[in-house]
Amino acid sequence: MLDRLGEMLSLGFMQRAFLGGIMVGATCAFLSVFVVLRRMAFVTQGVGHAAFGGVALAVLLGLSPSWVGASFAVATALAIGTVSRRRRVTEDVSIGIFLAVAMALGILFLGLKKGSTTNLFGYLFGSILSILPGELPWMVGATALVFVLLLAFVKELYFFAFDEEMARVNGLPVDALYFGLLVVLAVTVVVSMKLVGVILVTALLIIPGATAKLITTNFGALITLSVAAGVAGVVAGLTGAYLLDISPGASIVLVLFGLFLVSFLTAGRRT
Amino acid sequence: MPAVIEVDGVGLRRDGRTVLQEVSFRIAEHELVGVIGPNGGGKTTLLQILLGVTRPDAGRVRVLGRDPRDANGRRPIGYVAQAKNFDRGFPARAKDVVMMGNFGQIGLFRFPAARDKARVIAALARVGMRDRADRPIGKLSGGEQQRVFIAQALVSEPRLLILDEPTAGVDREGEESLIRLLQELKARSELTILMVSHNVSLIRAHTDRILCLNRELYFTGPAEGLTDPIITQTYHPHPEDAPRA
Repeated sequence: MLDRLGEMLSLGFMQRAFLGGIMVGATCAFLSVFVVLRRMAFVTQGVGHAAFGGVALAVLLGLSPSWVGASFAVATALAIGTVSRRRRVTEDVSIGIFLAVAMALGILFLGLKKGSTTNLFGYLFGSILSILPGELPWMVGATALVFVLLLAFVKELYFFAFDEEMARVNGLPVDALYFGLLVVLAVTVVVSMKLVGVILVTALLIIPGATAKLITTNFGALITLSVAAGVAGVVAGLTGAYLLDISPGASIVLVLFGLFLVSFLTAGRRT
Repeated sequence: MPAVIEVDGVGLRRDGRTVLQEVSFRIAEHELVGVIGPNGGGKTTLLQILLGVTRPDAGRVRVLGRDPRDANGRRPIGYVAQAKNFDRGFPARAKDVVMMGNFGQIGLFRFPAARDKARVIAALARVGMRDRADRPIGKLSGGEQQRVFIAQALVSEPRLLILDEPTAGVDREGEESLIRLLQELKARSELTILMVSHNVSLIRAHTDRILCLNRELYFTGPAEGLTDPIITQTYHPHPEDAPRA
């Protein structure tokens, strides 16, 4: 067993997978605190599907899937925010519309593409083991930037998540916080696609925060526990995937779900 | 006495409907004033205008000598919103909720300092909640939660405190206790208090002056001058809503 673990850590592609995975896992877990507190789980799903539409467009045009996916996801996130802020259409309805449109465009673009589209599966289900050395700095840089931004605005986002009206009355830039959170969410979804794919990225952006919220009522501890759960999920999931020769994306999500289940059952016993 | 609030000829229409019409009044320093009126009578909108969140179509508003829309988050106004159904499992203790009231003053990219924490404890002490500082907000009773929200409004040491239905969802005992708290706060400081409520008898019994609002102002004066016909007229459907023959 120890031999196999040693072998795993000596492989270049596994080293890149662990480094990229830990950065993405920690950032998603930090963001998941606000996704859970602000009840934005459905937004996350909408933005993830939008990224798929963007990736399909990139495949059709032969462009970089990451950049086109990110642009598509950011544009969709801003569209969801703009429509729901006008209050004539509620946020969930707005997401439902844009999610379906982004998926429809994705299917349309793929239909127009001549030849194989198999490399799209990497974005749908994740391909963390195939992170190239040149991709790692981009992944680490983007997640580090998101992490620092969340840390810089942590108290404002906390107030915004608790009571938007009072945050506005107290002079906080509520609209900027809302749209900023949407953009950060979109960028994080695109960066995380490489890890678990658009289908499973919502797990990384929801489960760590939901797990930690079952354990503590202290906001600082909530962030720490959520990030710890995200990193533990990635490390244990990747290790399990290597040892058992299973899909890393699915393995990470199932480990995260295991952590959630344990905290759910123990929290139920405490109450 | 200098006016803390000056409202002159304020009007607002939304979606082709009158929300406020020619509303004018002044509130002097150190007054405790109650606003009563029916649902949809413009009470909350009036508060939003005073807070600078909503801009009126007509008229002039001065709060503490300034246009409330110019204050940019550093206005010396404390606000307690209508009670709402927040997530009872939200990870916030009473002292965390009060600290949020400091965030506008602390500013971006800065974290609360020791003096901000001291102000939180002092604000909780003012509302009799110091011993509950570490309790999760969701585990407190309705009356205790309202005290915490009042402490949140007071933590920035405002000169004006505005409350929207502070006794809604609070039992009778808690209601009396909250009103006593507001009277004590006014007596012990230079605070001016403006409070909206559905509870006519409570407002009549405990405020210095009353405003009766149903899109336009039907009465302004001390409780002794408020007669039953004025109340009936205030709560009567506004002419714009009356059924047409």
